[in-house]
Amino acid sequence: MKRRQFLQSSAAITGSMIVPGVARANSVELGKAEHCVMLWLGGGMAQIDTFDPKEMGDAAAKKAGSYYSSIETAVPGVRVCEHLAQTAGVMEHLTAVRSLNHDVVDEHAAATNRMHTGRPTSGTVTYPSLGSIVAHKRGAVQEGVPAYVVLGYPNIVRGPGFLGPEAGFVYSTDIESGPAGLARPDWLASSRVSRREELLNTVRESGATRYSGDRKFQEYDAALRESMRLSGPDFMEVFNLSSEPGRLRESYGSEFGQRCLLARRLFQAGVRFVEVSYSDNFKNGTGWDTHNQGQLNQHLLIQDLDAALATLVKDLKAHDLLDKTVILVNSEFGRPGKFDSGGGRGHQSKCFTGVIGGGGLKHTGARGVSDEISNEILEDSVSVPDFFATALAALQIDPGENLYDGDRPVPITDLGKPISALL
Amino acid sequence: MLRIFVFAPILFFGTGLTCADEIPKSVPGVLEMHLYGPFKDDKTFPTDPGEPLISWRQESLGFVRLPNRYDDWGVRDDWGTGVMVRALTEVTLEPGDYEILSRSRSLSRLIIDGETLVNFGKQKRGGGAHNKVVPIAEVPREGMRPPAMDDVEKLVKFNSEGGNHTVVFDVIVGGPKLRLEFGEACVAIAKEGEMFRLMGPDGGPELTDEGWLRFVAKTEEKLTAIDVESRTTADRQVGYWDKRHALAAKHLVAGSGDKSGDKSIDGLVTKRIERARKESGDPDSFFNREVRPIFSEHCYRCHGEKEKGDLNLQVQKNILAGGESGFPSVVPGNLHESFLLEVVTPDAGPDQMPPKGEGLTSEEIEVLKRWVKAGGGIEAPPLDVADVSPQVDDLTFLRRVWIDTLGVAPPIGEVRRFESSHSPEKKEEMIDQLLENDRWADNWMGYWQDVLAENPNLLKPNLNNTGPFRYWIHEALLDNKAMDRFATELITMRGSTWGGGASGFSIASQNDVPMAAKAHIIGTAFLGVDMKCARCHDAPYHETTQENLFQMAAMLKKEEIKVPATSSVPATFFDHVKEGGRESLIQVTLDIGSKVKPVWPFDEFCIEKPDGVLRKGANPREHIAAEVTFSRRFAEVLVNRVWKRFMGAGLVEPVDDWEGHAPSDPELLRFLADEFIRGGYDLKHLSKLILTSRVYQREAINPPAKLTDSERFFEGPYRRRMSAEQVVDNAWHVVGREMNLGSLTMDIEGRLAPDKFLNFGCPKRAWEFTTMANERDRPSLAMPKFQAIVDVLLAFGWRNSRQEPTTVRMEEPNPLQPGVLANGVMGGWLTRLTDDSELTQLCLDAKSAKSLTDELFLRFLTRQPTGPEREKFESLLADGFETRVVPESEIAPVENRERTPYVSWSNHLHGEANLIKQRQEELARRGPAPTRFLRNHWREQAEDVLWALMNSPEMTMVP
Repeated sequence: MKRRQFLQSSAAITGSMIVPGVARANSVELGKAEHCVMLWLGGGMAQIDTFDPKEMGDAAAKKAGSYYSSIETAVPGVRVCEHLAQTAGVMEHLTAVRSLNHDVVDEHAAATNRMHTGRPTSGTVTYPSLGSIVAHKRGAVQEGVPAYVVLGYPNIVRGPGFLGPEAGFVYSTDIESGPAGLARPDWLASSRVSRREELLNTVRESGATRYSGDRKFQEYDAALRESMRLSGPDFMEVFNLSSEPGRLRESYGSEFGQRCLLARRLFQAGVRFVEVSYSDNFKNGTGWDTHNQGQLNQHLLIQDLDAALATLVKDLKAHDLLDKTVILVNSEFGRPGKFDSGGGRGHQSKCFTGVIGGGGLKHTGARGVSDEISNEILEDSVSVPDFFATALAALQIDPGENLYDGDRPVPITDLGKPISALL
Repeated sequence: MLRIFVFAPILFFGTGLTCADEIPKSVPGVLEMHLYGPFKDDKTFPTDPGEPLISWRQESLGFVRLPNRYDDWGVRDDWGTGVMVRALTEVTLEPGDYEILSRSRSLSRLIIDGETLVNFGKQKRGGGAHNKVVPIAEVPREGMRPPAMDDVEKLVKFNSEGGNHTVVFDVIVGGPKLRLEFGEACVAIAKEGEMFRLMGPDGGPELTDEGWLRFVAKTEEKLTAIDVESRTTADRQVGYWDKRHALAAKHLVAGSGDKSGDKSIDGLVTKRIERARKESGDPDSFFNREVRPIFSEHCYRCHGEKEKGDLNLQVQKNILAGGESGFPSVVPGNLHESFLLEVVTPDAGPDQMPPKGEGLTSEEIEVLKRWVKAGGGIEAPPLDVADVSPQVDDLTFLRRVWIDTLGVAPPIGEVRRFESSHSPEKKEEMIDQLLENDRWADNWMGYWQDVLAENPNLLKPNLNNTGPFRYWIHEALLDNKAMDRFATELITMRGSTWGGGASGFSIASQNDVPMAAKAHIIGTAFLGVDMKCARCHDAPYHETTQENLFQMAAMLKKEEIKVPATSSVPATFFDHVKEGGRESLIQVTLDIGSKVKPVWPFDEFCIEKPDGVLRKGANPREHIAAEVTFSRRFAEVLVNRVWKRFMGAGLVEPVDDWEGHAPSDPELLRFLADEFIRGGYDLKHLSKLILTSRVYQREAINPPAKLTDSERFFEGPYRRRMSAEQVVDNAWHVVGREMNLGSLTMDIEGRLAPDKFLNFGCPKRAWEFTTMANERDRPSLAMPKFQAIVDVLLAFGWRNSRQEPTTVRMEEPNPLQPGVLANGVMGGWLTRLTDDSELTQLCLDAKSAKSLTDELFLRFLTRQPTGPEREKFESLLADGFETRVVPESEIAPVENRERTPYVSWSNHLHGEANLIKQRQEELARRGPAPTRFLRNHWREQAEDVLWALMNSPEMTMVP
């Protein structure tokens, strides 16, 4: 081959490095899931007080260990904290990955970024969140609904980064008032809605004449039409939880639980990815960031999580959605087995727990082993990219492929490899 | 009349006020403020404050902010660790008993007639985030404005025998690890039972919300005027820049070899269109129809726009001769000998072209074979030139030029004046008038914040956060600083880092080579050189290497830089080749740990600097600044940026990455650059040149689908959508409301250090916003009112984090854009008719439903209603029109506004803080109370009219 000879000789002459390219060597086994819900526990869930229980410690005596007793679960040998009693009953559908780790420990914002994008920051690229990646790769399950919904505060780390607004989210901080920018204000009487739209349609038509043939106008006008449809009764009905059976709503429990119920409804409507953020921070003041006195009422948060997660698993199953829905319980990092001077816990990222559930994966209740106070990983270390790669693979997205930032190929995970035992 | 007066020592004898019984002499009838310092200590008053650094006058005794300090370039600088401000006045009182109320959060003292009546302790600082939420303090009079967070309030009785009293209020501002900010420190006086009024020689406003806000607005206006004068006086560089501009005019103007023809924008645009018509190839030829699309998609980027491997497939000779392989790409008619056909097949293995993607399809290869068989000849591309579009009508011109210069639609008075003017120069007069309006600066802000990656955070800087150098940008634009000087101030990173100077640019937090980030920004902003990829490797589409970037970074750092491991590509990335993968397009040629010396890497743009460009003893940053700005390239890049902003596309695209992209009209680019240089790099001069051209004033046309691949002829300006900032500012503008949302900060009471927490003041314009920074996801850190604006900005493509520079935003239409305007909180506020809304007054004053309809259409859309619109809108407004006004006797009293306790960083981990923020969110959603002056039934109809106008797609278009 003439060309090959040419290339070899030119390489020799210039001494330049001929470097291999990105190509996927081995194909990865992919799952069959269609949806993903990420339960976000902002602040840093203490694994030792939840899914990776150890011997009891004593905050007052500064003895490292769990703050609560542990209980058996549906999976023999796998134990969880006593406040996760309902979840214990469905552990066969979950896997607590007890050997997650990364290196951002002191800063919530940076760690939140890490656990949303699955990678360290770089000086020149703003990376997309997992939700945006999934929205970008797979779109909505059904046309005409947003692909990605955040039930929590909008922020950069949840955003699409270089993928752009197309891969962005619709958010809601309050279920009753619906998604920001789509739900109509609650003070607006329905008689006014139709009057408004009639007026608007008249101005739109005049505008369309003035801007006849204009592509930018037409595109915006089409977006306006679409937004009016989304604001209409069909999609908004999804947010009306009052049509759900009272017992189910009670079973989901807190505001957080109601958000989980809404996630199930969003999936039924065709949404691909929902992030549900825990926001009832007033219960202990600090949320899951249980320094000092934040520890005292931590059990209330755990109970909220327990009711929401266990009910979600059962509810998804009842709707035949459990195998199609990847559940993630995610947090910026974990917390050490030792107590701080105020009786709470500091941060720990070298060993913490994330939970993956449903999605048609082969769950084992738990995997990975930490030491006796959950400070160090002893077995089966799982990196953040691996954890993300697992979720992506379950969602039928090849974790080895590239996204493009303009021309620039960016691997979809930071060289993560799925946990093959789960797939 | 306002002026800065140099402190006259006659006022104080000796070395300043050292003890309270020494009565300083006040000037009758005025309130003087004197700033002393800097002081390192905020626990005690200075025994000798020395001479004041600046003095000014106010009407009332309250503290809003410090005037700014400027260095000898007129760039914002810091006052130092802390300062003392002394307010000094003389008030005349009737005999009688008074109460005097003073508030402050830092070390302060109130001295009247030489007697210290009140003392305040030093400012609280730090203290974590676990403080308690406390109820809003009781106020001594109903309806009074409560003290700001951490402000202590003290009341004293005061008996006056009548006559004049000297009042001194000393306040220490700032201190170690504090921003130099006041709370709402003030002194107010009242007789028993009366409302307190701020003290002042002529009385002052009531200490109510309304009175205080009016006082703040007025004082802010004065301080702004003082700032203008301070920086004009401080600037010592005028002579140097005059000389620089003379040198530039002498050495950098290219001129044109072609003396014939019309040397104007319009002449050149026309000339190019005519030439294109002649040169256009046949769109239906085999080559143009079948072969060109293949080359365009797969080949031209490297072998056309660039000449990788010495091969340019747009040049016939080159095709026949081949590239550096020595093999002819095409041997006419000979399929076997044509190297091109060989490398595009999968048989070429890892050497297959194109080097990435799936490769050519067999159909595409067939086309190429047919082409080679037929001789392999190339043809001129078909050029899609339209007829020039017609000139727009007056109202369209007016709306367009207002939005393009000020970012808002013309007010109704301007519309009427313009329509009725018969001056043949009325368009030019209008342009001149607009260029003098301060909103000009506001309207450019978002652009430069993006291009220069201005990225301050509310709290605890994370990746690539910078100082808030937005304030320096804004002042430079207000002053219309020459752009070469603007770039120089930025590159030399002058002035304050956290207080709004150009040195804020020097920060890239959490970035291990901040100066590499800065070099990349300077490259894209001013040279059209994109070095994004070069941070970690040499990139396939750019000649600029990683070493070039680090050389420039080292110059900015003023010392050599060691390449960190993070600025590279992990070796595992290349593992695939071992498994038989394809050759990588990227290369790593700079080893981790290697040291790169400060060297200017871009000689190709530079010219020999004549004497006078570089000053003696110039440091490496000043060298870079001179290399960048005293170059032809700099002028061309800037005129191209301005051209794109007004015309919808650049002469070179992309405007921030010129490599391999020739100008669509080199002559026009040359002409504009010459004019820009001759005009002293004056942005307004250049803008006027474009805005007054006929081309700018033509009807807008559809932009090509992909700008970079298209020939652009500017038969008219390309259609643009308004920017996010314009959408927001214009929405407030058309309803005649001022943003008044409080201070944008998470450290309300100023306890924390400026390099950790910033205060962005009380935003009036969209550019003043910033990320809501709730990555911690805590309800107690939410800022519901600001979020309402940010929601709109974000939907329309504004970036809440500018980690890297951008010129073109991702702003493709999506349902959230119209949705957030139609249903969002901001839209709810703005389409509500409230007591204080300008539109409410309009509705009250309207003579008829018809005149009101006309007014509203002109106001919102700068046009008359069409027939169907008139019918719908007018008939709705006519329903109940006669009885819309509530008779005076029936007007309900104003309801007291609900106040929620203060939540700041310091107490946000208290459980109640979350509930308060949730309550605030609910209040924000509910919006302001509707007006009491209009009947509800009619008001709601009118509000629906406003809503429909506000949500018209026309409200987002540049017409």
